[in-house]
Amino acid sequence: MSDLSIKDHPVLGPAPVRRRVTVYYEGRPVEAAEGETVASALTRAGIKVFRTTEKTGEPRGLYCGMGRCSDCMMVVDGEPNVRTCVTPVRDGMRVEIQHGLA
Amino acid sequence: MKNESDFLVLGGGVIGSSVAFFLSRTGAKVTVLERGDTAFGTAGASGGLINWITCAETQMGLFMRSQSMFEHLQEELGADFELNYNSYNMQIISNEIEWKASEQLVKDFKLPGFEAKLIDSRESHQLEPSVTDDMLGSIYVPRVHYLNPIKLALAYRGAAERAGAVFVNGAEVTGLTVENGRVVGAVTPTESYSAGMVVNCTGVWSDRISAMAGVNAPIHPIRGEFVITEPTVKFCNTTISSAQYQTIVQHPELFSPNAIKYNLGFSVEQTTTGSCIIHGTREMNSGLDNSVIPEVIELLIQTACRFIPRLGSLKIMRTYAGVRPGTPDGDPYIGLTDAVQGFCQCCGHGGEGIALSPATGEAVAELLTEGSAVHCDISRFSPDRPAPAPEV
Repeated sequence: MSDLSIKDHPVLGPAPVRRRVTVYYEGRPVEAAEGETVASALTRAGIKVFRTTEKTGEPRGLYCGMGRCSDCMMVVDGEPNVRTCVTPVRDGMRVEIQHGLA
Repeated sequence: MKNESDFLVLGGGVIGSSVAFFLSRTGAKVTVLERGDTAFGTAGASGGLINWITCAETQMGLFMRSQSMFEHLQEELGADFELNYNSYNMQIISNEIEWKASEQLVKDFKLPGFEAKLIDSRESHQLEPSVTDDMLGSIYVPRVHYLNPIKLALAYRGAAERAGAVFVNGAEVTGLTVENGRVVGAVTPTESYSAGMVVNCTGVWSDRISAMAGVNAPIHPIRGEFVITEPTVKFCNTTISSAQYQTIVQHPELFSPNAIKYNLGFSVEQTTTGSCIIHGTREMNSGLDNSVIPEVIELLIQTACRFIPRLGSLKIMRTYAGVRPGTPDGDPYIGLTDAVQGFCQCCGHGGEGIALSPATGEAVAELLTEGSAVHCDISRFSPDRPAPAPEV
């Protein structure tokens, strides 16, 4: 899968080297950098579906990116309604799509 | 003539909207003046529980008539107000003292067809797996209903408008027009309205309107606070409360000073959207301030998590407080007064406004169009009844 991360930012410079950890999206391993958020890791891996809506089952994903809109809520290590855009990754974390209310 | 109606209803809450519906259904021309918007005040900050076991005996006639009207009210009003009809209420009993008080309550309160019973902890858990293990049992109260109060007010309003009633929002009444001992209308900062009869349905603000008519009808506001959680999957089968509202009065030594100050009860309902409404405080003579007191919210949350541990994992979406229109003797003011003509009182329903709204609207419409209330005896709610002796 493509890596969408910025390796060398024109203003901020080269990305710092960080320890790699693995999270599991629907059981599938996704590589992440320690300290980044779940939403960031998933987005970098090209994953766009974080949850589905209650009424119509439509997919939703990263939207506001700052913990307000609740579109990025997922089931993380069994805990529902976790806002993945403000939740840092942890090695071995299991991240599941949240279907409707949970 | 502009702004002229048969009936001018002041207040667009659940009571005013109900009165407007039942009056306009008779073909009368009805105008409703509301200072904010529908359900802007108390109706917009209420729990939706309709529970006979906590209804005052004096109001049982109105209550019973209302509860039978509720059964088909959604069809009648042509609107869905999330009515959960004939559900039950579980009141968690935490200790022996509460168990004894609850036994007495259940024994004392026997109406045909309305019989609460005490059930043990095992049976309580079978009905409601989400409640705490740290309980002796609960009071099982059958024939309890719950609904969305804002949608109820909007349902009355919609049906009233279809019957020809006119609702004017942003119309704060600043004075009544009184001619020769008769109220003949009301004025707002921009308009004046005239009517054959003015009906005061302004709840917690009604004492000000009463005073404008020269009528003394004291209101003692009772503040209650609310916590709304994020939506979650259905885990509450019905409304869950605590029986501590009895012990907090009889055994205050068991409670913290703040719990007593704010008359801490507990009630939770999970709405059709999945959010939980946690409430249950009753701060007597609170004044009209409806700002949220953080220590009350903290008390409510602690209580909620104790009785229903799962609530502890939910995020809080918002909090708010509302004031209910209490009266010195606890009964509403409904009816005409000898003090002034052209003025009908319909206010002071305390915490029962939602529950009593159908029969109240019906009774006022009957009184004002047929001369007397047919379905309920409302004579005891006369605004001219003697004031209770002050408590020593």
